[in-house]
Amino acid sequence: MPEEILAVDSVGKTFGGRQVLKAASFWAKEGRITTLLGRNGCGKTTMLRIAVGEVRPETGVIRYLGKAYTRPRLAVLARRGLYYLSERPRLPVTWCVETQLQLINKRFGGSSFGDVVETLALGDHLGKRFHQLSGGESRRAALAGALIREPTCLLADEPFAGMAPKDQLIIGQALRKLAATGTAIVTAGHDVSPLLAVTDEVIWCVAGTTHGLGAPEKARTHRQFVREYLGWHS
Amino acid sequence: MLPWRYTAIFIWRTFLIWLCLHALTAIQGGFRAFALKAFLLALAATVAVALLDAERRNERRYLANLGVSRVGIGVVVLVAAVILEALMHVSIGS
Repeated sequence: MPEEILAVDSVGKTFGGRQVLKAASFWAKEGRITTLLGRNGCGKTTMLRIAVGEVRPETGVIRYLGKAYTRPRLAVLARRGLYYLSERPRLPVTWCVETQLQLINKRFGGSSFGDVVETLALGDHLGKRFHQLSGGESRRAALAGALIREPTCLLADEPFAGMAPKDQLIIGQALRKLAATGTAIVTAGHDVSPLLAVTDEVIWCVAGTTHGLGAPEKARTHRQFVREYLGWHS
Repeated sequence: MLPWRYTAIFIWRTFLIWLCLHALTAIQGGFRAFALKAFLLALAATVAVALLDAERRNERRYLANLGVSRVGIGVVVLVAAVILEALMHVSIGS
């Protein structure tokens, strides 16, 4: 049984009088990829942001590596091995991509810089600044930071959004490679095909709560999930 | 701990803002016109917004992933500002 690295337990959050999350939960297990799926506005991103302390929940608790946090902070969790890639992940433009990635490498060691650059096909872009990269290149560059860090837990919001199939394939392979090293990964998004291709477990976010649907094959046979979310993708 | 490259960047930014604030104070002392005050307020608001823009937020997230908290950044900025202020008082007299 894989060890539970991160658990966001029964969190609730209201925005402008609308209760987005009532009692939603998700978890990240060692060496496994968990995917949050659900319609727009169901609270997937909010849950990830709650997990890293960017949004404060009204109820619930976050447990990371056995310690409970009611007010987590990304910097604190990052020192304990968590890495967060937001919806539109960016590296600062202060220096070129190579310098930004080397800073992560120097601080944490982790994977070989050359291997990550090769895996994500970033060789030609290291000398550029982040804003000079295309959409796919910039996502790969941002993910490179996570791969170099080799975190205990990675939260990646919409890792495949707006990318060409080839880039989706590269990122999917990189995520699987990272999970194989024992990293617990949580992804979220709407790119059903690439997400289900890499994930081990699906969590469905609906009506302010969450349902663990198990493996992707099992999720594809869940009638309500298919009817209310997957539609033609099933 | 903040990487030295970012420490240098934050010290540089602190210097620029410190310089702007002192320049604004000096100008305001000389001219009391309402229009100028409004302009200075607008300028100060622009600087504040610039510090809170998406790029800065993104930079803080990058640094947080490196384990650097806002408090850590705040300490660097505060120490830099205090040193600049002290240097100014020493050089031109309080």
